[in-house]
Amino acid sequence: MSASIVRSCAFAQQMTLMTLRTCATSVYHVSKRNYDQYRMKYLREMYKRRLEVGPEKERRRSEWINWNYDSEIFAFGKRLGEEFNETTIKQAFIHSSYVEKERAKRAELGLNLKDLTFDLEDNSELAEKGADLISNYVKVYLRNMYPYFFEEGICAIHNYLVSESMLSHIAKHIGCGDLILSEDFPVLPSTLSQTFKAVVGAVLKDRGQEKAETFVRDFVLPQLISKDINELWEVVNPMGLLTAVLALIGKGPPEPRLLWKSGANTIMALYWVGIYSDKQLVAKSPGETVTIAEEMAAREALKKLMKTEDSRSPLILGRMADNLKLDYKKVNMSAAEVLKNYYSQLKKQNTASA
Amino acid sequence: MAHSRVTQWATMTRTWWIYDANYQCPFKTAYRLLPYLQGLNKPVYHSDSDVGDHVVVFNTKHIAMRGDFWRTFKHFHHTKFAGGFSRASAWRVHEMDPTRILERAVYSCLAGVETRKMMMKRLHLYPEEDVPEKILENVTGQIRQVQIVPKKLTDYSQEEIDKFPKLFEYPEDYDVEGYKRENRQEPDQHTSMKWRLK
Repeated sequence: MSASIVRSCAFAQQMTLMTLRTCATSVYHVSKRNYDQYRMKYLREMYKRRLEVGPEKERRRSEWINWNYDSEIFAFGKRLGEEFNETTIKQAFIHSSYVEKERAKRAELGLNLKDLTFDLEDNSELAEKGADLISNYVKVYLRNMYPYFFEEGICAIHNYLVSESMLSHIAKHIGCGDLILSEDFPVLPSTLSQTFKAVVGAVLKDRGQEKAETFVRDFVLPQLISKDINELWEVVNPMGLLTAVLALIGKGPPEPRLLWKSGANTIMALYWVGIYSDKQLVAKSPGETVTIAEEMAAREALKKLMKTEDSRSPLILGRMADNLKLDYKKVNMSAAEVLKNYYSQLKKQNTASA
Repeated sequence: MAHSRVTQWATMTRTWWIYDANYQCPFKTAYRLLPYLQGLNKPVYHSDSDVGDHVVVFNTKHIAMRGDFWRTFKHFHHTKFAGGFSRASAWRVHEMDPTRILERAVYSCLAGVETRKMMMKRLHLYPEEDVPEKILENVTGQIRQVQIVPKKLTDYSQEEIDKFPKLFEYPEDYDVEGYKRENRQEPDQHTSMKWRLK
């Protein structure tokens, strides 16, 4: 509001300037015959009052008169290209707080709830089913896309994708915010995320599992685009894990070597460290100090072995994923298990030699 | 720790180069050093951004000028006071400061470049070979010289000199040892009176 007033003030000033300027060539120009001397004062006053009163109260979209819930619900499905059963999708937007509020309202009016048929049902059941499907499908998809990535990493990406903040972000941007029926306003992230799960549950109920999985693939998984998946999983000791993995695939232990350095005595010192195994370069990385460069090179080597390098091919999404054959029973290797096996074997060897 | 952070660090790093100015033309050398100082060899180069490398130049006392340039090439200066103009020929300037000729050559090459003063700070000039150890530790690359270092008469052994076919005899009054003496006879019309040798 205040911004628009400022803008109109500027506009008024511009108009005055325009009238002062001679404009002989323009045929359609109509000169102004007044200087509008009270307009500025009026706008100033309005601006002052707005500052005193404060900003406009935030209201639900449904509080305005041109709101048709049924047509909005219909448009929601059409926008996403999904055919919903109207009762199912309506149920997906009903939060439990809204049901309780309705119940309380009726009790206040003195109605006996036992006598009346109270057919409002909240979305918790749909959300539960939807959450299961999202969680399952995201894991299956990621395991098939990154078959050499460790299970811990897959879980880390999964947790990032199904987190409350991520799901609420998606729900907000596909337009669930205005449609949700709940007590809290502005709508809480938890409510938004539950609604998104319920919408997936609704797709599952109305259109079947395949369509629901496509829905998840179209709206949840693209959030990984331009995200570095290796950063989602924090490896505490990359060199230790690298040693274990190299031993597992029958290669020699990793050997870090300094490849190049520059400006060693300056604050902008740079070191390149390469990691060799069996005299073959596995990976190299720069760093501000030798220790950092070595650690980063170990991470790079792990990325190479897990086939999640920066140069990896993009995720198969959209129409290209229509004919995707996913192995639902696939389970990736666990880093913890690899480490456990390696160190127990090492212990055995040590005791045997001693 | 993000890998993108260290790759960024590697992109923005400044490499240290070394250049031997022994028997090198200062003007050709200046053009050779420019791309390194400006960072023209980097994919992130932009004329407004300061992404150049460091260049360490040693043996600037032993640069070589072609033709009669030591005598005729002049450096000018004006103090902005009346009668403040002065000029000095290259050999006189070189005598006063053995890094000055190369420094001015590079500086004038960078005319019109906004970041010229920043680049000049990254040019480290040393008259002799005794570059400090701390500076040498930073260096990782070498810049190719602009011309081949000639072999001097003193570099040949007496045996080789004697073996060389002698085509004629010097006249008896010819000053054979002249090149060994310091030249104090030079009238040096190119230098202001103030800077001339007394």
